[in-house]
Parts: sequence; structure tokens; C-alpha cells
Amino acid sequence: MKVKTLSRSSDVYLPARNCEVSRLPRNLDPDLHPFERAREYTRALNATKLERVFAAPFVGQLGNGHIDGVYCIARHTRRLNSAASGSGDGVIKYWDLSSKEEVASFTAHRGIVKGLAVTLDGNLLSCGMDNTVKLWDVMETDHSGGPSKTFLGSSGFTGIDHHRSNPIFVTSSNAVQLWDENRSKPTADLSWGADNVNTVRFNQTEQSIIASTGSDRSIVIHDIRSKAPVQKLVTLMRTNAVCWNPIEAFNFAAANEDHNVYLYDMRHLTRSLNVYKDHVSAVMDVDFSPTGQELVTGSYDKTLRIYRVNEGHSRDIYHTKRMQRIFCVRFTMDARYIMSGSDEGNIRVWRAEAAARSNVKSARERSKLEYEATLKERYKNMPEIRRISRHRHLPKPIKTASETKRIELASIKRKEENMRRRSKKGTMPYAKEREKQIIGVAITEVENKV
Amino acid sequence: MHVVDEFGVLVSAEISPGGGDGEDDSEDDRDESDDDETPSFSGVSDSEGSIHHTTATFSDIESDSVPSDLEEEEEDDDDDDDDDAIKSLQQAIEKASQKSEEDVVRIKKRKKLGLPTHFAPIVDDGEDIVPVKKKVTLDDIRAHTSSSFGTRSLARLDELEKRSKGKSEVVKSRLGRRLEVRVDRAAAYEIAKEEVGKWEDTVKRNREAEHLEFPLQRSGGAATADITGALDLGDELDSEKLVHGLEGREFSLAEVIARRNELRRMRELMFREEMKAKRVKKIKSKTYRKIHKRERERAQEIAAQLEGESGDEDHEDSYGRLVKHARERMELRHKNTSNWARDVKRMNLHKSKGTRDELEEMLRRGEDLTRKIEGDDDDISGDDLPNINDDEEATEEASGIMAMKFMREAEERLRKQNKESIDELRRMEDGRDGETEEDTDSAVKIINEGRRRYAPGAQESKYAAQESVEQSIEADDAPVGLERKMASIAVKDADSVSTISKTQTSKKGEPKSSKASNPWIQDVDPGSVAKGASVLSLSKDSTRFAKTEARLKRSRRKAKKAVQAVEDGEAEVRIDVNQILQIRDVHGDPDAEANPVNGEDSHVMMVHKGGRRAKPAEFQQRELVKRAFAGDDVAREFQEEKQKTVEDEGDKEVDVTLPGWGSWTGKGVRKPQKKFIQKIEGINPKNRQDSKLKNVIINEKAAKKSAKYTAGAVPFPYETREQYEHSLRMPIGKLWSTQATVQRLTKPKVIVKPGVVVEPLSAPFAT
Repeated sequence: MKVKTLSRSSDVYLPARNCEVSRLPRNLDPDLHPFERAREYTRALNATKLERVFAAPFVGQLGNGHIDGVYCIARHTRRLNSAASGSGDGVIKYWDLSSKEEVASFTAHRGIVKGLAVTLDGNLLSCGMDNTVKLWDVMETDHSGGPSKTFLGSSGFTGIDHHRSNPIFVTSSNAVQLWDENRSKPTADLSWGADNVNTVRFNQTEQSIIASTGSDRSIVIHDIRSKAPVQKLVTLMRTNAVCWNPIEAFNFAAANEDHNVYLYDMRHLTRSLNVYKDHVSAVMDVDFSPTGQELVTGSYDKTLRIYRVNEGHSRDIYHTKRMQRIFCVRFTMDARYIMSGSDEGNIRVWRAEAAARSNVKSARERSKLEYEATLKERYKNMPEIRRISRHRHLPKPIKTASETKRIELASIKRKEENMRRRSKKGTMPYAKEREKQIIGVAITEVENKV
Repeated sequence: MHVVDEFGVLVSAEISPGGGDGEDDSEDDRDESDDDETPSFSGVSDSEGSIHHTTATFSDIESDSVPSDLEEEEEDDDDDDDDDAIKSLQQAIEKASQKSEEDVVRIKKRKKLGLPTHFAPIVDDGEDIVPVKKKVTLDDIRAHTSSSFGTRSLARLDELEKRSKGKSEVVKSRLGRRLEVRVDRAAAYEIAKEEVGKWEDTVKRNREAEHLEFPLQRSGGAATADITGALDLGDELDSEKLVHGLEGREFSLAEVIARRNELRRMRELMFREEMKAKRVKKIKSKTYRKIHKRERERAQEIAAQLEGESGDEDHEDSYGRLVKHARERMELRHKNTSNWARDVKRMNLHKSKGTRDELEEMLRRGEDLTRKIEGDDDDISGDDLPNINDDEEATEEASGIMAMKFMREAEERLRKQNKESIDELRRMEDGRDGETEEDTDSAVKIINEGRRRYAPGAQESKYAAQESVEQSIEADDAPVGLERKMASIAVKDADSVSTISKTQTSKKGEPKSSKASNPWIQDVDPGSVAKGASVLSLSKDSTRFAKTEARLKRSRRKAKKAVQAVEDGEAEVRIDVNQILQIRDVHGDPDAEANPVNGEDSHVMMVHKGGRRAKPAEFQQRELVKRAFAGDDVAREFQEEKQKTVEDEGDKEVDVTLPGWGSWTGKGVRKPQKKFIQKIEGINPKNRQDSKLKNVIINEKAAKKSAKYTAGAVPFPYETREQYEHSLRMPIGKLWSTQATVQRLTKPKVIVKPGVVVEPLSAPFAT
């Protein structure tokens, strides 16, 4: 017997569409779809596992790298596929990131190249320990004729950075000096104190602010409007690098020798906003993602870690067998890749998201990925999912070092606790984790009020 | 440079209020460790400060180095300044300055010779000698002024001198350079903070944003340029302008012609469009036509009715109308499947108010019709059929078209018909054989005009609900479809059943006991329920009374069924009538306290009793609790339960011997082996977490499997367990929610446009 069912073509009751597939009606009654939580949990678990399966952070290295260690990297601010690197033997190389090939290579300085910066018209400024800052035309591949301009200083330069919209740049040596591209002498001296300055970095958002770090374990904020240093912070150990948040004008991260990175608000330097832990050796460089949501650090422990800005521990760690101490890390300007330069002379390119691929995706694939990402985020606190997503194979030295560090810290803490227990009540207050490293600031708020 | 091992020392030097300025050399650093304790001015005195410690007096001209403008200011304040006095002063000053120049020369000479001068402290070591600005004192002036000058002003000056003597004792000392720098820095820092603080709102907004799409700022320059370009084109449509423009631009002839043609074409098109718009405006809309059509039809109908007065020749016509309506009902004409409706949907015309209203109207009509088809229509049927519900009073106040003669006549006819039908119903009521289960409250308001029901013997049915029908006819403003109500009553709740039965009894006119007020106590007599076995049948041309009657019959049957169900215990509500009666007795009779009562009712009893006798409250309470928990040995039960749990979760021995195995008999059979006993290890009672806790049972097997699916603690952003639970409650996937919701829920927080440089934020009008 043939059962006749009541059926109508969807063309009759649906509006005309330009795509072929008509929607299949489905019942949204939750009773008809039991176990939704269990199902979504399983999906989240599978997505987490797949993420680990597909995690392949290492993209490749640029050309054959340098002969000496790479100590500075500059990315082009307006082009995505251009970068330059400077090495310990004074050689600068231009790189084409899409082909991972070398574009040009030339000896720029006698001795180490300490800093690179990109000018407004895309040219390159380099500074070295040979007391010079040199301006290079990047369109030229043959630099045998020398730089297009040379600026002479009184001592070796340790860092350089260019203003975002004006033709001025700032260098660090035994002083922090402000230069005009069109003049041969520095236009202003912004230094505070007598010590060597290690690095200097312009704020990209509030463009007149500069941060520099000194060998006297200080971080100094300068203002080029008043042509003076305005605030000084002294920490327990030296700061190796600073980087301003590109979307939060007053926040900057400082990579410290004490294995941590600190996030500061330049208006209130008496405490840090966040402490990024996990490294087991000094952090040599730090860079914010252009989105301002993440930061990457390169460390002397030969690893590279990625942190979310509002979390205290790294979300990922990258390492290879052959990679030595990392001295410079940079995000690319599209926030998708990370470049790292290390002691053995290679420049490596990494994915910012280890499991992400940058191919063009169909709408369906994209929506699936987005759904999975949401699920992972939702169920990330479930023990199984957390375990899988956090699991990393680490090199043995790092594993042991972190274990040792943990024990050491625990023992210090225990000792302190014992002392506190045996001393008069209130004489040993608890040190706040975010204020521990700070010794003091030059201009206190109280003073400023008066 | 200077490396210091003891960090603390250096650091304190750096940030101490007096020192901290690194301009100076290493020697300075060393000194500053001492300076820490002595605040501010100690550092000033060494190189440059000594100058300022000298105090300025009028008598001591030459040692005074600080130019004090105090006196001059005070002079300005003087109201009655004489011109001559000023002149004299000027002269005096000239002379004084000459003298001072001489002094300078003298000092220079002395310096060259290496002789000490008493100006020495003024002069910096390595620098050239700066000409010392000398001050003019009153003595000088006096010396050079003759007595002919105004003595008044001089006297005044004297006065001033006396007054200012006290003040000039203390002169403001310049702050040390370092301190100055320090203050400057503090001010600059304050400004920088303020400047950078302007980003606060932006930062806050970005942090709170649900989604961040990078690049955050779009370059609006190009877009606006495009727009202005388009606007320019519009201007150039003017031919004169165009010609002028072209002259300037030096285009070729062909280009000019092409452009002119293009313009011509554009103008032509615009003209056509305008004409079309005019024509369209004249055409009346569909709605307009529809309304007019409806009016026309209505007029026709009325005309037909007028004609119908004379004879019955339009009978066929009305039948045709019925058929038409039936077809209308059956078709999907009032669904949104018509061509017009589809067009409306396709063209998105339903967004305009008029069309949407029409569409809704159509759908509503369609729904009405469908309801009719299904036969549960509450509303009044179509306008074309004579309505039973017409109000008699309404005719009296009629006005307009209703006041016209033919309308009134038609109405009269209708009323007559109604009356007839009522009479007929009443007759039927009289002729019934004594059994009524009619619901007196029920009123049939409408008559089903929907699907026809075909069944034999429709004519024979004699039962009708005369009263109800009459009521409904006379008071037709009762808005409730009681028939439907009845149906629902019959099926669902026992409450209504009771009302039915109540009305039954009231109809019978039996004397009612006081208990009868309680519907639960009412006993239902199954015998009184008639077993109506009649089958109703209605034909197309059966009268509407017959239909009404049939409907009533049906509803009656349903009610009856429900009553039967109650009796048979099919209905859900079951009542122990006796128990309730007992309580009533108690309330009624205070002496009934001696009556044995079971546990459930005891508290009611007690309260009642207590209220009457006014016993002490605590005794009452104790008694109450005692009675309430009589026979409850909670502690013992708990201990037993715990014991059981411990045993259950402890070691167990299970006999795993196969049944029959080893139970052979016969010669040479070996002795059967011992039983196979397996020991399943559980939790040792001593190792239990609750072994020492008397009043606690801790579940040792607490869902180890489910631990995998539960977060250990409330994760960070959430503050309570409920919050976290809530965040997990609703599923996200496509299966559980609509496409739009899924898209909204799964949209990532940070979206970066691929292949684009993500620039840092920049202030909108930054230089």
C-alpha cells in the first residue's frame, strides 16, 4: 500500500532565493535533542585534541640566516612581507617573508648591530657599537657605496627607534638622544642619570612618549614635547626590553632579568598591572601583537612564549632543538606570525596560533572553526580538556629548570613564612606579587599632588 | 660608568628627594648616600648657593647682588606721583648707574691683578665677569637731589624704606638646580599623564567590546574622495559647464561628441522616468480597487435581498454563494500562497504598512476559515447567513443604513425566524422524557457552519437544550464560547464535573443538606445519568436548530462520559469523602476531641484544641513535636544507614563456584573442592573518611567518573558556582538554536582581517 503523505514543494511557501539549496526545516524543541551538554562537551574535547594534533607552530627559517647571532629585527611598518635583521658581525639583511628569501645583505657596522628601525618612507636606520647610526635605502640591494646618511655619536649605540609620524628618531647609548633625520647632531638629550641605557622604544599611540631601560635597573619615561625625562622606575633587576601596547596608550610591557615580564601603566608605576611568569631564564625581548591582545617573549632559556595580555601564564611555548638563546622577537604586522632571532644566527618564523592555517576557508569551514573555538573556550575549565590543551613536550633542560625553580621558590616562600611566624606580628607584611620587583619611583604621587 | 654593588644604596640615592640627578659625575653619587638624611637644601650650598644667602639692604649697596624689584613696585602703587619727583629720580638713577659702571671697571681691574674683591662670590669661576647690576638706594637719591625737589615724595620714600626694612630681611632663595629640575619633571610627568589619560575611554571601550575587528580604524579618506567625485559628476551634467570644462581640458572632438550623446541619453531617460511616474500616480492602487470592489458587492447583496422579499427565486443564488464560500475555505486562497502574496514576500513589500496590513487581514481570514473547517469555531459565521445572535434591542437604536425600511424589514423577518426556532426548541423541551443533564449555564452562541456532518437519523432526535438556546439568543453578548468550555470541562477536570452534577441536583429540586455546599462531599448517583444512545445526523439542508440540538447532544454526551469516568475511578481526582467529613465534624462539634484521629489530621486537631483551651505555648509545642515525630528514631536509623553503607562499600566475598560443579557422585569421585570464593576489595572501614565522624556519612565512591566532567573549582571570572553553571547551560550548536543565534554566539572576540597591516591606534587629529 502506498502511503500518500501531505507534501508541498518548498518553492510554494518560501520566498525565492538565489541559491540552490533550500533550507531544511528542523525542530528546535530541546526535548527532541537530548544530551546537548554531553554532546557539546565531547565536541569541545575533540576540538581540543585536534588542535593539538594540528599544532605546527614552526613555519620555517629565513634564508640561511646570519653567520653570527641575530640581535635585532625590524619589521616594515607598512608592508607585511618585509623585514630586516642585524647580527653580531655587523651584517644587515633584508628579507622577503613570503618567499623566505634574502633580498640584500651587507656589512653595515664594525662590530655588533644593536638596533634597527624603519623610517617613515620605509628606509632602514641601523645603529651599532661603532658610534654610528646609518640610514639605508632599502630599495637598493647593493650597498657597497655605503649608507645614504651617517649620524655620528660620542659612544656606542645600544638601541634605536623611530617616531611613528615625524622624521625623528631616538637612540640610546650612554644617553637618550633625540635626532632629526635631517640634522647630523642630536636635537635633544633626554637622559636621566649617568648609566648606560639599553633600549629605547617610542609609544606608537601616544607618539611623544618614549620608554627607555637602563643598566641601573631603571625604566625611564621621556616626553619629547617637554624634551625631558618625566618619570623613573627602579626595579630589583635589570629590564632588557620594553614594548608599548599598540591599542592601550599608557600600558607597556617590560622584559626583566628575573624571568618575568611585567605590564605597567605609565601613570602609576608603583605597581605592575600584570606579571607574566613561566620563563626559566632572563627574558631578552618582548613584543606586543599589533592587536594588543597578546605578547610574545624571547628568553635566554632558548624558548619563546606567547601570553595573553590578561593572563599570567603563557598560552604556548615554542622551541626547537637547534634554537639557541633568543635575543629578539617580533610579531608581523598582521598579528599572524612571529619572527625570532637567536644566538646561532637563524631567524625563525612561527605561527602565532600553532594550529591555525592561513589558507582561504569556505564559510562552512570557518563557521565550524568558530564554533569549535567557542566550545573550547566554554569548556576550557573541564579537567580533561584543560590537561590536553596545556600539555606540551618540553626540552629536558627547561623541564628540569622549571622544576628546580618551583622548588626554590617554594623553599623561599616557606622560609619567609617561618620567619613571619616567629617574628612579631605585623613586622613582616606579605609582599605583593605585582609590587615585589619595584624598588621605587622618582616622582611619587604624593609629591606630585603637592 | 659607575657600578655599584650594593643596589640598595644606589637606588635610595637615585630616588631620594635631594639627589637622584645623574647629571653629575660619580663623585656625586658617593656624596649622595650621605645626603639622604639631610633633606633638600644641603645640596644647594656647595657651588652656587652661597650667593643667595646674602641679604639685601638699602644701606649696603655694593654687596647686594639680587635685583629686587620690590621697591619699584611699591613706588608704582603710589597714587600721587609728581612728575617732577619722577624726573629727579631718573636723574638720580642715571648718576647712580654711571657710578656703578665705574665700579665694574674697578672690579675688573682688581680681578686682573688677582686681587680679592668683595664681589668675588658673585662671579663664577670659569666664566667671564658679568656686569653687576647695582641697586639704587635712597641715600644715593638724597645725595643727588637738591632741596628744591619735592620734599613730599622724599618723605614718602622714607616711609617706604622704613616699611620695607622688615621685609627685606628675608629674600627668597633660589631652589637648587636639581630640585628645580625635579619639580619640572614632576610637572612634565603630570602633563604626560594627563595627555595619555585621554586614551582611557578608548581603552575601556576596547576592553569591554564584545568583538574587536582589526584594523580598528579605517582610513576614511579614499571613500570621501569617491563620494565627492560622484558629486562633481552631477554638476557637470549641465552642458554649458561641461563645454567650459572641456575647453579647459582640451579633449578630442570624438570624446566631446561621445560625452554629449551620453548626456543626451541621460536626459532622455530622466524624462521618460518622469512621465512614467506621472502615469503611475494616476493609477489607483490595488487596495483602492479592492475596497471599491467590496463596496460594490455589498450594494449588490443588499439589492438582492430587497428583491428576495418578493419571492424565493434567489435560493439558487444563495446556494451558489455558499458553494463559493466553501470553496474559498477549502482553497488556500487566504494563505500566503497566492501569486500576490508570494510577490509581496518576494519583493519584500510586506515591509510597507499597507501591504502588510492587507496580508495580515488575509491570513486572519484564512485562519478563521480553517477553524471553521475544523468545526470548533467560536466566532460568528460569515455575513451571508442569517445570524441567530442578532440583538433585538439593537434594532431599536439602529441608524444609517440599518434604519432604512428594507433593512428593518429584513431584520423583522430574521427576528421572526428566531422566534419560530425558539418556539420549536421549547416544544421539544416540553416533550422530553424527564431526563436532563443539561448544563443550565451553558449557552450556545453560534451555530457551526463549517464542515457538514453526515449521519443517519438526524431528524429523529428530540433532545434540545431549549433554555440554553433561549438564553443565548436573548443575551448574546456573552462572549464565551460555552460549548467549547463544556467540551474541555468534560474531558479535563473533575471540578467542572462536580458543577455539572450540582446543577443536576438543583434541577431535581431535592432539599439540600449543609454538606451539599462542599462539592467534594456530593455523592454522584450513577443512575441519574442517562445513557443517551441516539446518534445524531445532520444533512446539508437540516435546520440550524437541528444542528444546535445535535451539538448540545454531543456536549451532553461528553459530560456524561466524564461523569462516568469519575465514577469508574478513571479520572485522576480521588477523594476520600469520609476523611473530610470527619474534619468537618471536628469543627462542628468541640466534644469530638476524644475521637481517634490519624496522624495526618492530628495537627489540625491540636491547633483547634489549643486555640480553645489556651494552654501554655511551650507545652503545646513539645506535645506537637512529640506527636509529629512519634515513632521516628532518626538517630538509630542514621546509624543503621551508616552501618549499611560501610558494609556495602567494604570488602565483599562473592561465591563464584559454578553451580553443580564438583557435585558428582559415584565411585572414585574425589572429595569436592572447596568453594571458590572471590574477595572484592572495598574500602576498609578504618580508612573511611567518616570513620571518626559520628554524624556524617561521606560517600567514598563519589562519582569518580563524573569528576571528569566537572570543573574542580569555580574558574576565575566567575564568582559563584551558579554563575559558572549558568554559563554552561544553554547549548551553542546549530542543532539547538537558530542560525543567527549561533553566528552571534560563535563570533570570535578578536577578528583580524587577513593580509592587512594592523596599525596601532592613532588619535583622530594627531599631528
